[in-house]
Amino acid sequence: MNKTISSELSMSDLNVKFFEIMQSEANAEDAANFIYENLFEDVTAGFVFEFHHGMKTGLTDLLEGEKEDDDMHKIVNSPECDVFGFSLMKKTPDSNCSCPNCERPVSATRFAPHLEKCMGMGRNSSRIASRRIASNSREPTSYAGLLSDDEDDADWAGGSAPSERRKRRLKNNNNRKPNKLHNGNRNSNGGHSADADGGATYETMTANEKRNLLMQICGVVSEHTKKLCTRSTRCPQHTEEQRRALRHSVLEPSTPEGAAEEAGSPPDSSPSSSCSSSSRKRDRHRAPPKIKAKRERLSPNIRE
Amino acid sequence: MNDNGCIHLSNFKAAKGTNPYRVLHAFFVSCTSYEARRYKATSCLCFICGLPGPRMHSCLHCIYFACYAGHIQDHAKAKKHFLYVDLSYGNVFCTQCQDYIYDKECIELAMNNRLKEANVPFMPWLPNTNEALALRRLRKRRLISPHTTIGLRGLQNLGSTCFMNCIVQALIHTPLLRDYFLGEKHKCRAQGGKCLVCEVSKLFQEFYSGAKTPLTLHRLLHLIWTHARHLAGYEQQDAHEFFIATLDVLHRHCMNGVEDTEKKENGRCNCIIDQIFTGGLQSDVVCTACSGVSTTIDPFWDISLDVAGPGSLQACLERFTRAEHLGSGAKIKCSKCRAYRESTKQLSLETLPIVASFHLKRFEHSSQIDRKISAFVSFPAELDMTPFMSSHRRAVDVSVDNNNAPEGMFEDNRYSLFAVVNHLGSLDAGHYTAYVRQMKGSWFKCDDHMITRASLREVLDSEGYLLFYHKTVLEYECDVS
Repeated sequence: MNKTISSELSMSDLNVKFFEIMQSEANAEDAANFIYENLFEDVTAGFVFEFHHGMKTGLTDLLEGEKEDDDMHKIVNSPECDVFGFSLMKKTPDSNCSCPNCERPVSATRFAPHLEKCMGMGRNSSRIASRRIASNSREPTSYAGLLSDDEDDADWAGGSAPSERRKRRLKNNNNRKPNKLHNGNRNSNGGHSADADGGATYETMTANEKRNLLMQICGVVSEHTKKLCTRSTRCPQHTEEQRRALRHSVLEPSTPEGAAEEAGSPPDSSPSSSCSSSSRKRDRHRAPPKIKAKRERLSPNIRE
Repeated sequence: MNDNGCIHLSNFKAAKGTNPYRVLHAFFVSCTSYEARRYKATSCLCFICGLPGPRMHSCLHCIYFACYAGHIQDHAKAKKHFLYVDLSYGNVFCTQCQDYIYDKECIELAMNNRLKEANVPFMPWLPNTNEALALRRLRKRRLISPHTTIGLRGLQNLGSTCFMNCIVQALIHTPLLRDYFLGEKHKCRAQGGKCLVCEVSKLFQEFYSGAKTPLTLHRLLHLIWTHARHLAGYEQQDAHEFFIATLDVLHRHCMNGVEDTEKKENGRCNCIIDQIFTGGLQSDVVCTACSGVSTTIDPFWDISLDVAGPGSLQACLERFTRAEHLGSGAKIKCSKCRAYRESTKQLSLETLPIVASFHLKRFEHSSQIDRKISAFVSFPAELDMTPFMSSHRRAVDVSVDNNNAPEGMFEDNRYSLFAVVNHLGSLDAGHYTAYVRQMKGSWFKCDDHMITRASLREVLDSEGYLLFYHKTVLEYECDVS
């Protein structure tokens, strides 16, 4: 390194004498000023360089471009209109949207109720279904308690809420006609767009659909109701033997078994319902927000 | 963009390559090693006047330090060396052009060196070739101002889906989330419209497109119901439940575009949802017999607060973080005593999320009665969370004994309100609306498809069901190691 550097103190001198030098207030102030000025200069230079770089390279011009004419987007200031200038009095303009589930056009304002049925879900429909299966079944009912959604539900609901909902459920249970609930089949049918309600027999399904369905549900056909059992593949109401036999007969291409005449599976035959309780639990464990154990679940009814 | 330097620098690079610049930059500008730092501190003095400035430069031809107060010019004249590197920022000064010049290659080398110097240096955004082309082709820039509807959009009610609309409005107006999505940061590998994050990304484009007609969120609803089956139907939808489920699905889908190796950092998820919404709730259980403390920290996305009693958000939080005696009916096994003991439990906030979401528990379901609590709870536009922090509690405890200043007093835990979701009406027949802040001081009321101007007063006077606060000052992330 060049010897012309005129430093009075070498680095090691400075290290040794640092505290001695800083004893003097004047020295300390000089040092502080020096550091401050350096920092100030550096920061200022940074701003100037950024500006210069933007101007010189054309970056500033590129980024700023030309301001879009925003007359089109001016907020409308009028007590009768919203910010877009739509009248507050006018009814919601309706439009159609295509249902992502069944791909049919649906009126937008009625999309949510449609989707609920289309996906074969809903707290109520799944509970109605499990209840119906339980009551339709001739098998000993001692298992029903184990299988019922309710137990898990009570847990999910913080153990306090169910009375009101149970009433509602029962009410719904009575009101709803079975064939209305069959809308739910569309999902489990793997996109059968055939409009016919209650088409979920093994007969109407392709081999693939059958296989998919049987991966997710028990599927044993009740002798009594001629319906498919939509519980999980480890449902305790049917034996492994029964399940094996059913799979053997249904998935064997040579012997298509006419499972049921026109019996549609219950509304929650969509695979989800049988596993929903477990996924629900999983979600709950995963989701961080449930903070206080004692916290109650609070959900208002929303109706307009 | 003109970042090709100048003819003099080009000639120099043709003769000697870029290596002289790279080495000079690594040593005297970015100081990529301890040795380099030492050199810079001790020997970067002007060879002529011996002073460390003003504005030190080094000759690019020979390592010769000189200040800008005439001495680089002297060296240039004497040696016919025309190129000098500024030692603070690494910019090249050409004495023949009499100006600083910017060369793409040099800038790239400088960036590489800076990366070696610091792990996460601040890098201003520069458009790449394609982006520069697009910017040149499309000259019009859309500005967001308090006088235009850009960034606002009504949402069609799909049949009692106001619970969804109000949450979407709150999310769309979350400043950091907006920056993330408008910056197109979500890179997705999922296919076929199955990713909720992609759907939200599209939604942001729609909100800022300038279109005025209400949007229909049917795909969003379908995606959320598909991935959060427990929401199960619209009939009993609660906006709070929907908010949490949406965050959960978004969080899961964020992982679609991410390599397995970069998913977890310090065992913690660093997806955008967790970066913005996750905080840490500390629970200290103190044994009344031995005073042993058992501490656990759990992640949270929101804080649910009891509203019966206190009249303000701060009072609710005060009560939430108050020590609570767990009576004889709730004995907990103390690991020190090895026995079941009575204890006290206290919650505090260990880490704060960037967005603090508060849920006022206005809906009460018990075996006797279901009711809505409409009690007025005031909430501020600016909120300081410091009193509810674990570090603050510790500091207060210590200062009682030692009379010391609380540690962590320099932390800035101020938050600003940016969205409020309200539930109007009764338990059975209700409607949700949202107030959102589009920019500072500019509030709007979102009632499904209708967006109207609102005043801050109106917002603060509303009942409040979900309150969303954004951290006022964002700190740089740094590794304290």
